[in-house]
Amino acid sequence: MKKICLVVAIVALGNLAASATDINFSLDTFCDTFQLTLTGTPKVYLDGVHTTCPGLPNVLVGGFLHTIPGMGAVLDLSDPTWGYTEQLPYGWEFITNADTRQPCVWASYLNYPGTTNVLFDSGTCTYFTDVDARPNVSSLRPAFKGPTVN
Amino acid sequence: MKRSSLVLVFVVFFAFANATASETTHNVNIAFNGHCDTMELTVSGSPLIDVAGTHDLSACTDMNPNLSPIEYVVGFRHRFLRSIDPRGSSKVLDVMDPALGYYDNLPYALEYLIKTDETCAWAIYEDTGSGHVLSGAGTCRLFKTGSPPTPRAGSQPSFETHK
Repeated sequence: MKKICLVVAIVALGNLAASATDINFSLDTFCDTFQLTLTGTPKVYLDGVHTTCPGLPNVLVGGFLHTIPGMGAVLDLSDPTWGYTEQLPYGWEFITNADTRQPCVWASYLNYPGTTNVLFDSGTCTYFTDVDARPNVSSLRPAFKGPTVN
Repeated sequence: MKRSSLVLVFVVFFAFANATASETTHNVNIAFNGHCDTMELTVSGSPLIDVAGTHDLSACTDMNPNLSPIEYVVGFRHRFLRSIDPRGSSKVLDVMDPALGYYDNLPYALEYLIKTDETCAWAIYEDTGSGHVLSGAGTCRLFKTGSPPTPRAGSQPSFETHK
């Protein structure tokens, strides 16, 4: 009986560690939303959908949870929008704070000069559970149309 | 005398500035073994965590001539779990690459994790709808800026290994 309990406990712990965590947020003042899932053991694998604006294609994003000196634990996402939507060979990266109990903040980095990791834009974001409950954002612009890129 | 003192101050200032610059920037140039592509990356900032540079596919055949053979990649250098590919060193160059969107017209993210501290090794992760999945890995070698090794004839880009 003890052995059975032990096996059940181990399986339950394994499932707990392997269970996925959903993290959904929208970028304030932009129409973009991210619906992400954090998985793996340890739970560091990140993937999901970046929805931009009505009429623009969605893209699949992914990355890892890790720490960065000075920033702490972050969700670090690779985003294919510039290559796919804009047909420009620019790498784009989103960073948000990993602790969802803290206020949501984000920054994106773009390499458009070819040599430099440029802080493209940053701001606050809002966590949500139901994307349909989000207010109408059709008048807002997508984040990749942020600052002017020459 | 005043002018010579001013020049001396400038010389000392520029020597100091150059010394500081060399401490805060270094280049990491990588050739993917068995593949036709290379990356020339610069790690900069204080602390040394900002990664940016080019992913050069100009030695690859079968490229769309209407597209640039050079992509601009971006990322960070950070500590990471040794258990995640490429295994080994705890420091990685974590590089976001637009290749799948730009060359393959697919809305999928692509990420390179590169380790150069002990041996040169790399792994790529893609998002095609079923998670952030390891889709390729291999070894690499370092080269001097502007002197990439000649790739093996007919070799494919590193991100096409899964196809």
